[in-house]
Amino acid sequence: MTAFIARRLAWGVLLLLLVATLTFFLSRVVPADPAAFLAGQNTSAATVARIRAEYGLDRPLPVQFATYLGGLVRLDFGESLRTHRPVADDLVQFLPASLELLIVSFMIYVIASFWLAVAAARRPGGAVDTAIRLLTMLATGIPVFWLGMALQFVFFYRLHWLPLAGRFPLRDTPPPVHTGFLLADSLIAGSLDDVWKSLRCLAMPALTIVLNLLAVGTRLSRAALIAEFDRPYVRTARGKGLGPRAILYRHVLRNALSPVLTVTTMQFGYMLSWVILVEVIFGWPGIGLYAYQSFEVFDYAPVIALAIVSTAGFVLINLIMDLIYPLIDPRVRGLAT
Amino acid sequence: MSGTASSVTAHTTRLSSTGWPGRVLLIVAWIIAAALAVFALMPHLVAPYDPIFLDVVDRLRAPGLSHPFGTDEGGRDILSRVIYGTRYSLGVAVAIVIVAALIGILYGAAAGMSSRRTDDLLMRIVDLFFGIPALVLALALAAAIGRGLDTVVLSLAVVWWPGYARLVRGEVLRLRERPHVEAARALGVGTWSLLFRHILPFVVQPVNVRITTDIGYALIAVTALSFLGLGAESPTPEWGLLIRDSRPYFGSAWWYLVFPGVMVMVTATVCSIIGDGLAGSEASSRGA
Amino acid sequence: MRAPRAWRVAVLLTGTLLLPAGRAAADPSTFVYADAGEPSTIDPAKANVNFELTITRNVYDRLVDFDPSDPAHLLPALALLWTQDGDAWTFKLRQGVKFHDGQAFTSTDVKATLDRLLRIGQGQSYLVDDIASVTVIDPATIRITTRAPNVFLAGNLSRIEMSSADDINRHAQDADKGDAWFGEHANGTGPYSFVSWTRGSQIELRRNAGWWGAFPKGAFDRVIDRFVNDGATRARGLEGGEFDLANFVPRDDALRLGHSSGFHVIEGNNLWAWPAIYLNMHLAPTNNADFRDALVRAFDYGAMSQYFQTGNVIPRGPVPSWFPGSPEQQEPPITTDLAAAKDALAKSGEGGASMKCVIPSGFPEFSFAATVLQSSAARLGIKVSIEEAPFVQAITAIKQDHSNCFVLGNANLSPTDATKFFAAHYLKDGFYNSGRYDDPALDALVHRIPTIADQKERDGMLKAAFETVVQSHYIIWAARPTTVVPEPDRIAGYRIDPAEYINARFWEIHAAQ
Repeated sequence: MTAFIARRLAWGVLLLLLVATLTFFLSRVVPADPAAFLAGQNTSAATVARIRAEYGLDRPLPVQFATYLGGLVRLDFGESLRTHRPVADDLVQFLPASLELLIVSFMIYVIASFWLAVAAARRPGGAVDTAIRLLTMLATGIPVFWLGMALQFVFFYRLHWLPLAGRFPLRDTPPPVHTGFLLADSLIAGSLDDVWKSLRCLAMPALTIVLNLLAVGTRLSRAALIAEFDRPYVRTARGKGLGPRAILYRHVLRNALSPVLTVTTMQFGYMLSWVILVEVIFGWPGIGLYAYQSFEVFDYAPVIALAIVSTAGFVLINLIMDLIYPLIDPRVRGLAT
Repeated sequence: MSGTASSVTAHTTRLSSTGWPGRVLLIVAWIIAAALAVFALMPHLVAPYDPIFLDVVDRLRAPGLSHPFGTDEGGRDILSRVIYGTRYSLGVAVAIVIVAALIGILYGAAAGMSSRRTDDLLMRIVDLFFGIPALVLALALAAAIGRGLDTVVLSLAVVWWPGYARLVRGEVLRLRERPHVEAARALGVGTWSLLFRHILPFVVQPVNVRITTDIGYALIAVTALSFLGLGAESPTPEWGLLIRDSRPYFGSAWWYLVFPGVMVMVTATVCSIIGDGLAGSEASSRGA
Repeated sequence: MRAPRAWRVAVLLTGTLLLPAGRAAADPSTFVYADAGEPSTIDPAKANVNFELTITRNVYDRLVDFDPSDPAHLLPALALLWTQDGDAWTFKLRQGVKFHDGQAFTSTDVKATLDRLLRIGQGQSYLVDDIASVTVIDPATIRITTRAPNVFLAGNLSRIEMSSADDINRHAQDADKGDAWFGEHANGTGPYSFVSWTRGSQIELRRNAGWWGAFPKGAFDRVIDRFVNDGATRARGLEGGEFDLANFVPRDDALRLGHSSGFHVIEGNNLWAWPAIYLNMHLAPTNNADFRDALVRAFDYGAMSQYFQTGNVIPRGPVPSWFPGSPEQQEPPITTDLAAAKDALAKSGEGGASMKCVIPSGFPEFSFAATVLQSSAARLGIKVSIEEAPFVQAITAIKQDHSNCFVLGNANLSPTDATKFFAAHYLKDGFYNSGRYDDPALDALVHRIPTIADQKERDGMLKAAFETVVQSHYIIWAARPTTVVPEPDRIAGYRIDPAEYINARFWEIHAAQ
């Protein structure tokens, strides 16, 4: 087991290295000059040259890369040209917002998709099942960014029910920062009112993510459940006279858990990749928006950092799943060692 | 990527089994697909106006008889722009998936036909690519080689091929043990001709299903990148870019946002329906 | 049944979520400004972008101010009196002014600020880069010496924010000489003081009750400068009441909103050209003067006017008629003339040529102007391909001859001095001189203007400079729209600064009575 984890970790590190190298060199062959951006408009060539030297942008690429890798080991992602702050500090600042959005959406998604899949799988081919299948099939075609804008149009622009963008109502003072997670901070401050306000801001971006994930996720979970229903042991159970509910909860769910988990893990990776879009549309101050805005002005370090952080997130989730599988599915136990 | 996910569905969710609504849907989907093909290949025959030329007197006209989808800020006919856009949006999506499929087939076949150790290593590399965040890679690539549809093809193909590699390798491993392949091998047929004559022809069908479904996903990814400003450049009538360009006119011209979006949705859904239909017929031809 | 119960709970939960928050909406004394982006720095020596100036302008004061309705008329601010004597300017400072940290403002603050600004060489320093030395005469008097006599110095100082010598000295020993400190802290003498900066979201300012100036009745106690990068979102938030005012509302939305109920329109001149198309003087085919002439004449100015709908004029040259001393009214209009364009093209021998434009992304007006150029050039049989890129990349592309043209919006930050604008846009090594126009005679002429004491003579020189640029066909001045700002009826006091794109003078804004 330890050897297995060690091997997995080694591959994870290799992957991180690959991503770091790839993004670093890709982002350094840019034709534009970051020093010129830093200097701002209407500055002399001498000022630009001085700034280039100050930021080490005049050194050869391999030297810059070595410096960068050296820093990575110490979790130093370099300095952002846009915010003039260490990227690591910025990440610490913006990561909780992204995580809060991701975790809340993901929890809602897991519950909703599981529940829908069970509803559909209980009577495959029935009215509920057909409706769910057709709806999810149509919903897979809706682009995330379009969905987000449509929700804004309806719930903010037309109905004035939910705030347009951001994490907390504009005119109100958010609770003091302890964790960076607004929901947690509101609870620490003992203010249910603040929890409420955070939830209202969270509603649209989370709904966008959830609806988008549900389209694909429900189809897959449903398929996994139905596949389990087709297995011989279900027939045996039926033969023993067990009712459909007992079969579902006692046998099928337990066995279907691991394929459903696989789907869910995959979905999480998918979500990490597209969270930028949701953050951009909803002005959600997370790492996705941070990296995108930096990208817009040719500030590379945050883009590379986002690549590394989201890859690390992906590796971590996979590792956790690898560890969970043997616990829920004895058949995998042999393979893992 | 969601690409991998779809293969799970291929064998179990079948639209054809939903009875007549499913069959009607499938027929409608094929008709729309044919129309899209005409849009992409011969837009000048269908589009009523030039997609680039300006006619500012007619700017931001609401949908009407002369402009069924309305006009944009330059007075250009949105219907025409959307029709011409098929070539860019759908064309690029198809290109991505085909490039990814070609790489994936070669790689997957190589892995499937090689020794256990090599196969293991090759698949580990595939796993690595699965972990690369697509959008971030696209950002870095766009920063490096400039924005444009070619950048989009490159970055999405890089994250898309591993799915095909896995699929093809799995199929090859399965087919290797089939009696007709075993027989051919016993007769002394070489590895390469075994692969090309006796294995790959059988891989084509599942790959086809996968390609059809993936085109829809790729289309959404392409438009998303264009929406973020990484893909097509103005005044190319690419759908995602149209949606991006429409944002400043959101309050005054809803049609500008709605119709390009509808095109994306309809096209992606059509791909998903047809892919599903193909999966159904593939499964029945296998006798599964 | 379990499922229906779960449904009910879910519906109930979402239902309550959608209800507006219980507590009454806004504190009436808070003003929310939707700004176009997050500042990269709020260091007054470095701030350069419009949404950085929002902060510095309101937190710091300047030596002199000017009247937005008559920019040639300078007003006292931190300085009460000023006189020019050849290359020396003397400023008498206001007494009893205090920084937000309680320190008194004196002439040593002015010296430290200007020395620091010129050492750093960024931000607005180009406006005063001809200062040779700054001398403290006494705590209330400062003398500024320029390399050559400069009649515009006082006007240009209306853009230079004064920080505290104390802050500068305290950080002089830091490795970065205080760059980081000034980048995210602000201690000025201005009408609003800096409270906090929530990264990625907003900066909060508080009204400085001890300010030397006068606030209007109903001035806001608290200002939230919210970062909203997307123009459409700013417009929608303004419309929905989430914001009280917004920077850069897309023009169609601005006009629509401004004329809808609950809003009124503030309209004014501040743009010199929006957009202006710069042609590369060193890359074929735009290095050919007749070819440029053909493009200028073929350009469809009517399309731009249609696009801007109201309040647009077609510029006749680089200096707008409303600027003090502008010769524009006496100059011939520039109009679309396809026949003349074809003649010019024939003369150039570049018929059938193709060219590439890399333009800054993010401005619909810029890409529209490029599209107009594309379709106008097509009438001459010239193919124009358009590429969008972030500002720095786009301007680098044309400077390195990878592009034939560049699009820029023009405004002039100095209320009285046109020469700094010429220096940046048309003179050798000018930052915005992206097509690298190079005419030593023009350089010499423009550099001499500020040294001339006689206004008539200066105006004549400006006219000569104006005509030189027009006759080079270096620029296609596509349009000069007025700026349109939709102001909600509950807000009053917003004025358009004639020397900036869009400004936000929070100390003039107040709740409508």
